Amino acid sequence: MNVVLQSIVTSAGSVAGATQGWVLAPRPDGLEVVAAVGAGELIGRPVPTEGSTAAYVLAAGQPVAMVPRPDDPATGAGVASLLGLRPGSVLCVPCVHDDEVLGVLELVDKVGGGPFSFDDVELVTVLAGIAGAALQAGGDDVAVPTPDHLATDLRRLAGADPTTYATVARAVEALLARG
Amino acid sequence: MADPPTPGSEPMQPMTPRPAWTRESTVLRLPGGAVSLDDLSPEWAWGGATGRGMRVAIIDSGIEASHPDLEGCVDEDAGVVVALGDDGEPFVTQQPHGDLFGHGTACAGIIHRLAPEARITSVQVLGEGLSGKATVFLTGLAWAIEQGYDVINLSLGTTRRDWALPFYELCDQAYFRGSFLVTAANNMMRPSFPSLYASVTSVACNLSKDPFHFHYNPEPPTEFLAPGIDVEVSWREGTRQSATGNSYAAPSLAGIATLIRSKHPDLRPFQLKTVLWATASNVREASTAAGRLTSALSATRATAMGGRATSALRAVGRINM
Repeated sequence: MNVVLQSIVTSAGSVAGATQGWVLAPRPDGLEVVAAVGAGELIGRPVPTEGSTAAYVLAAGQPVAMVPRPDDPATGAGVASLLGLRPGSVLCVPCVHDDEVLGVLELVDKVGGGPFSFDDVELVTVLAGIAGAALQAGGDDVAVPTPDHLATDLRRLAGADPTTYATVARAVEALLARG
Repeated sequence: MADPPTPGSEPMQPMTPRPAWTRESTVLRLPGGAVSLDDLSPEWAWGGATGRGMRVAIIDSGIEASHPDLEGCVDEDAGVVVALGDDGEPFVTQQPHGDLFGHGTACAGIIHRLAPEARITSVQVLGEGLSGKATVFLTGLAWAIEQGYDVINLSLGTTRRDWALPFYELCDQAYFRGSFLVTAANNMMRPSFPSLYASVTSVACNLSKDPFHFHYNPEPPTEFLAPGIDVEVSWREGTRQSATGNSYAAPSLAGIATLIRSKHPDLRPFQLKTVLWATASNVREASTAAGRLTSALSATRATAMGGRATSALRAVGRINM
C-alpha cells in the first residue's frame, strides 16, 4: 500500500466530507485503484472506464463535481460499478504533476447529502496535486497486490522453480482459501 | 502599330498584395455608425438577439443531439469524430454520434438556453473509454477553426507544455480568422493550454445563478467569470443533473458571445471581448469608463485579498452576488 496516496485520499475524504473515495491511476487497459478510503478492498482492482467520471476527468484535465440523477446509467459507472453503488454526489479531480495528468482523485456521497461545494473542489484539487507528485514518484507501484494477483504470481514462480516456491505457494494458497 | 509584347516584357506586378498597414485609410473605415464605450449596454449588445445565423462548435465528449433540452439545435450531420489511426496520427470523420459521457451535452444545453436559434456542431475528441490525447484535441480545434465556426467552446485542455506552441499558433489563427474561442480556466495556478493565451477568452466561475450576470476579471489569464456552480445541466440519456466546474462557466459566456455576435456579426474577436468587458456586471456598475476600469480593478482585488489564495480562481478573486 502506498501510504502517501492513502493519507491523501483519507485527508481529502475528511476535508470534503465524503463517505468514500479513491485514487485511480491509468494502466494500459484502463484504470486501477491505487488508494482508497471506505473501500480499501478495491486497492489493486482494475476499473471499467466506459462512461465513467474518472475517465472523463483523466482525459479532460478538468475537475467535475455533480449530483447525478439516480436514473442516469452513468451514475453507477467506474468504481461505483465494482461496489454496486449509485452515488448521490461525485467530486472528481485530476492528479497533475509536471505537466501530466497522472491519475484522478474521486470522492463520492457527501456526508449529510447534497452536492460537494466549490470550496471542496478547490481543497481537493490541492490535495490531488500532491497525489500527482506521489504518482509520478512511482509510489503506486508498491501497492499491495490483491490475493488473486499474489496467488497467480506464486503459481507462476512455483512452475518455474518448484524446488524453491512450490511449498510456499501451497501454503499461501491454503491461507488465502481460509480467508 | 506597336510590336506585340514579347514574353517577359509585361510591366512588373507586385508579387504579393501590400500589407494591410500600408492601405489607404478609406478602406479602413468601419461599417455602420460609430460606437462609444458608453453605448455598449446589454441592450445594445444582445437585446432581441437569439443567436440566429451563428454556428457554434463544441469540442468535447460528443453531444446527444436527441436530448429534449436541445430542441433540435444540433447539426448532427455536420458533427465530426476525431480519433487516432493505427499509425498514431489523428484523423477526422464526419458522422453523427452521441455523447460518451454527458459533458458535451451539458455545454450544448447551456449555450442553447442562451442562444436558442444558434446551430451547434459537436466535435468529439474523446475516444472509447473516454481516452483523450492532446493531438486529438488539437486536430478537433483545427477542424473547427478551418470550418469558420463563429464561436468555439473548449472546456478541455492539456497541461502538456510540449503542446503549448501548436495550441498557441492555432489559437492565433482562430483569432485572425474571426473565430471566437472560449475556454475553461484551470482551477489551479498551473499552465493549461490553450486557456492561458490572449487570443482566447478564458472563463472561471462566479457565484451568480444568472448567466447574464457575468464578471470581468482584471487579472488575467482568466478574463471573465460566469455561473458554473450548481448549474442544472442537460446530460446523457435525456437526463439532467446538477454540476459544478469552470467547464460549465465557459459555455455560459460562449452563449452570451453567440448572442452578441448574432446581433453584431462584423465584430472581430478582440471587439467582442471588449463588448463582453463593457457589459460585465462589475464594469456596468461603475459610472465612467475610467472609473469603471479603476473600480472594477479595486473591487476585484479587494475580494481577492480577503480570500484564501488556494487557486487561480481565488487569486483572481471570486465575486459574490
